[in-house]
This record gives sequence, structure tokens and C-alpha cells, in this order.
Amino acid sequence: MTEPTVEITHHTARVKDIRLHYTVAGEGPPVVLLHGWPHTAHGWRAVQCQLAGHHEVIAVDIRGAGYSTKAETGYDADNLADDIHALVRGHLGHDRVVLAGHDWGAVWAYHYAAQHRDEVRGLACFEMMIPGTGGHEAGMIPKPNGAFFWHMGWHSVPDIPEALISGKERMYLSYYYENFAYDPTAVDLAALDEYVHCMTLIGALRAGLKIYPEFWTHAEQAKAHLARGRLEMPVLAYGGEALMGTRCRESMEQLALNVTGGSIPRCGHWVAEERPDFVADVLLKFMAGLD
Amino acid sequence: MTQADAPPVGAPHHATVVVNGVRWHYVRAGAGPTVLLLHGWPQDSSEWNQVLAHLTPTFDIVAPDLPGSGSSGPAVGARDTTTLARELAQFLDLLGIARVDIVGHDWGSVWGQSLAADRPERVGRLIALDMMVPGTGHHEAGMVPAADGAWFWHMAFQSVPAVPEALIRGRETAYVAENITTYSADPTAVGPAAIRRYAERMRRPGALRTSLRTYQEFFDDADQVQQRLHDTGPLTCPVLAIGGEACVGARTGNSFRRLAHDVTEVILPTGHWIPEEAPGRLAAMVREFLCSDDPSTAAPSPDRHDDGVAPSRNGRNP
Repeated sequence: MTEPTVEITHHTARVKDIRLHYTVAGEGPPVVLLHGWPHTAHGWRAVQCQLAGHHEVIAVDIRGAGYSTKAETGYDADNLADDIHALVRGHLGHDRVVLAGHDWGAVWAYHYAAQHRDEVRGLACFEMMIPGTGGHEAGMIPKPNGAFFWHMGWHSVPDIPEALISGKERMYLSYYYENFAYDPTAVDLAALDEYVHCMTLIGALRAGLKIYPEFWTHAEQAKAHLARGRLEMPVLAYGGEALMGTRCRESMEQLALNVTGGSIPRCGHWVAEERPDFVADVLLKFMAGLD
Repeated sequence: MTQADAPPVGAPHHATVVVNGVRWHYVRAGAGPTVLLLHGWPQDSSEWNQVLAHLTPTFDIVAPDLPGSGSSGPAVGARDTTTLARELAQFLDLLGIARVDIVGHDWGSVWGQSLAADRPERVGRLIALDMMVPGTGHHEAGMVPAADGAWFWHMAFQSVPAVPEALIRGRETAYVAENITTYSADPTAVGPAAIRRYAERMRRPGALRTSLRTYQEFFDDADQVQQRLHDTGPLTCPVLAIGGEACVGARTGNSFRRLAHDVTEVILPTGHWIPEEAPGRLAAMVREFLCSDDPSTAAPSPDRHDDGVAPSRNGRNP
């Protein structure tokens, strides 16, 4: 795993009802990186450094994650996207940005773009199918040997996952970082320490799990956005070949008119840590081609 | 045990036999036609404690702890319905019992129907309590995630290898308590003492691993159930399907009607834990169904209300 080679600075901003922690590297046209679960902005560090030569690269800890406020409410897709918009537009003053999201971060990036279509130059989604497009709905149906997205369903159950995972965060997070990877060493122990540290901050586990019961709200909100038409800005959608593969692109093609991407070879779910060079390369080329 | 130590005939006694290399504990009590009581998850044979006293005047009751539960040992390998049917037949062989009627609760009813299907000569009548059998589509439908945790999430979660055991370990009491109270009509019926007892037994080495294996077999079980239906047709033995209206309810009968010709359906105003929520009512229905000459016309009707629970009839299979 490549460790950061350029300076990443840490910031916090009061946004709406919460405090958002975010990191910044480089200068140039802004690109905003959104993590998923059980990640934080730290997951983007290698990609952030590689993009920093040409861009102001902003990585945000979303509501409830990392060092941002462990809020009790506000975990529907449109509100999570609005948190980021309030930071990017309201606090940082960026009129137009590129958004890149991984896992749930890709979902919120879509919801941001769908609600502020003129403010998003391009959208890049990694390793996620957007709730409401059917991919995850199908993937959540039980199949033998645990070969289904069981955690999506199970995490949506109130209270139970928190009660069972609490005190076992390191074991549980290790399970994901190993089992959802093509390279199970890519998220190394130092990175795991950071993710476990953040997931064991008071309220973090409960807050992080609040995303999942909102799955169906996310789906309804995505369908409402789609009813206003598919996105017209360029969209990049990649999955790791060892997990979601081309299903990410197929999901985005339902929501956007101009989608490129595909499957990342030798990569599982943790794209920005398993294949940071690939991710940075496709992002740089994607952004270079934008208006 | 010497002759002098042998319990009087009919008095409850506990014993063990080794089935397929695993130590099975069972309790046996009463005198009369033999009735096999099969518990489900997360319970053990002690879920029948209250029912036992009602049935022993009429029946020879045999209630085993299945491997991974109660005081029986853990098992390695498959816990699918074909394996369980074979093991149950061996268990009956070891006890010298040729033919039984079965009362199965939860997974116990699934294994009861698999024994009845694979060894029809061994089973007279089957009473199934609040369960949908894998392969009939009812559980499959209930396992699809829906908002607010309003689905049989534990069936899906517990079908995943390794992870549930790792997470439940050390939280057995809380997990069992959640399961019991959530699926009760009266969440105090089973009670904290029984919950602690079930959880304590779950903490024995290998127990949780073994009993959770049942859930990993769900998909194989579904295939086996379909295969039996294809190969040998529906069960020929009469079936009484009793649902708890606060849990599986009418889906019990709906599921068993796919698997048997002669199904009588009853809904009790209970949750899932019928032997503990309505022991007297259940015992009366068991006596009525198993003692009638023609069970298909025996209407298990309220003749006793010692649980304060009256059954509601939900029609029966034409």
C-alpha cells in the first residue's frame, strides 16, 4: 500500500447540524472523494496524493463516520448528499466540482449530482450498485454459503447488529477488508488500526449502521431523481472484478446517459487501496476530458 | 445401571445414546403409544417440560436434544434434513422403537417431516408447530430483506458461514432473549430462567457451531424437500399444522399443505413458542389428534382452557 507522498491537511467545518471532518491535498479544479462503510476519508489517501498534482482533492468523512459528528438522524441519501453539498458549495465555495464515490459514497455522489446537476462536472462511482436500480436488491436475496450481500440486509435490522458487533469491531471490520478483497493485504494493519479507531469512537458503530435501515429510502429517492431524467454529465463507473465488476456500470447506466467504465482487473471492493494507481489513472483521464 | 436403580415405568428419566458418533441426551417419560418430541432452535428438549406432564398419562414420550443443543454433543459435518432423518431413525433403532407419532416445533417439524418422508413406515402422524419447511417457498419469501427489520432476518444471517457464530459468541443470552421475545405473543411466557438455560447450553464447546449449521443447510434442505416430493410424492401420514398467529401463523399450514395430502390446520393466539406459551392447549390438541381413529375428521377443539388460550380454527385441507 502506497503511503501518502504529498501533504494532506485536516480540517473541520460546521455544516447544518453537524461537524464534518475533511482532508485536502493539492491545487487545481476541485474533486470531492466520498467513502463508504466501514471506511473513512483515510481510504482515499493514496488516490488523493496521486490526484493532487492537478487537482484540489477533498476527501470528506461523511455524517456519522471518521471524525465527523455521530449524529442520531439524517442518514437518508438526499440529506447525506446535502451535507456534502453544504460543505463544498456553502463552506468551500466551489461552484462546480467532480465527485468520486466508493461503496455508499458512490450512492451519495449520485444523489448530490442528481440534485445539483449543473454543479457537477463529472461523477465517478466505484464498487457500488445504486439502491433502486435492482442490483443490490437482487444481491441481498439469500443464497448458499453466504454468497449474497447478507450484511446489507442484516445491517438494516434495528439494534441487533450494533449489539453483536460492539466490542468485536476489529474482528468484524477485518472480515470485510479480507473477504471483500482481491488482495487481502491491501488494507494493511496500519489502515485497519485507523478504521477500527474511528469505528470505536463513541457512537460511531451505531451511526455507521444507520445507513442501512435507510436502504429503501435511498431507493425511493433515487427513483424520484430518475423520474426527472437520467444524468447528462459524464459518468465513470467501475467495479472490482472480484466483487461487483461490470454490475456497477450497469447500475449507473439506468441513471445516466453518458457512462463509461467497466471492471478493474485484480481488484476487489477496496479499489482505492487495492488498485490506487488504476483508480487515480482513470480519474485523471476522466477529469482531463471534462468541460 | 442396576435393576434396582432403574426408574419406575413411566417416571421421567434421562439417558444418552450414541448416534452417528455423537452423544444424544434424551428424556423419556410416561406410558402408552410412543410420541417423539423434536425441539427447534435456539431451544432444546427442555422446551417440552410443561407439555410433558400433560402427555405422560397418555403417551410414552421421548424427547431428545438434537446434536449441538441441550446436553447432547456437538456434531461435525452436514446437518441437512436427509442426515437428520437418518440419525432420527438410528436413534429410534437404538431405543428399540419401531414407530412413533411426532410433535416437532420449529426445525423439529422439518426434521419430523423428513423422517416421515424418508421412512414412512416409522411415522404414524405428524404435528408441526409454527414452521415453514425449506423448499415450499414460504420461508424463502420471508427471508427477503424488507424495511424496519420486518422479515426473517435471522434465517438469512444465520445461513452465512462462520460470521454469526463469531458475533453471537459471548452474547448468547442477549441473542436468545431477543429471538424468544420478538417471536412471542406473550414475551414473558418463556421467561428469563428458560432463556438463560437455552443460552447456557449454547455456550458449550461446539454447540453453537453445530446448531447454526442447520441454517447453512437451508438451501440443501430446500432441494431435498423438493426432491422427495418429486420422488415419493406427498407425505401419506396425517399432519396437524399448528401456527402461532403472532409468528409463522397460517404459513405453517400453507407450507405443510405443499408436502402432505391430509393436513389439518389450527391457529393459536400465541407466538412461536407454542409448547411454552400454550402447553395445556397444545397437549389437549396432541391427545385429540393422536388418539382419534380418523384424525382428518378430528377437530382439535377447545375442551380445556388451562393456558387461558383458546384456539381458532382456520379450516383444513379439503
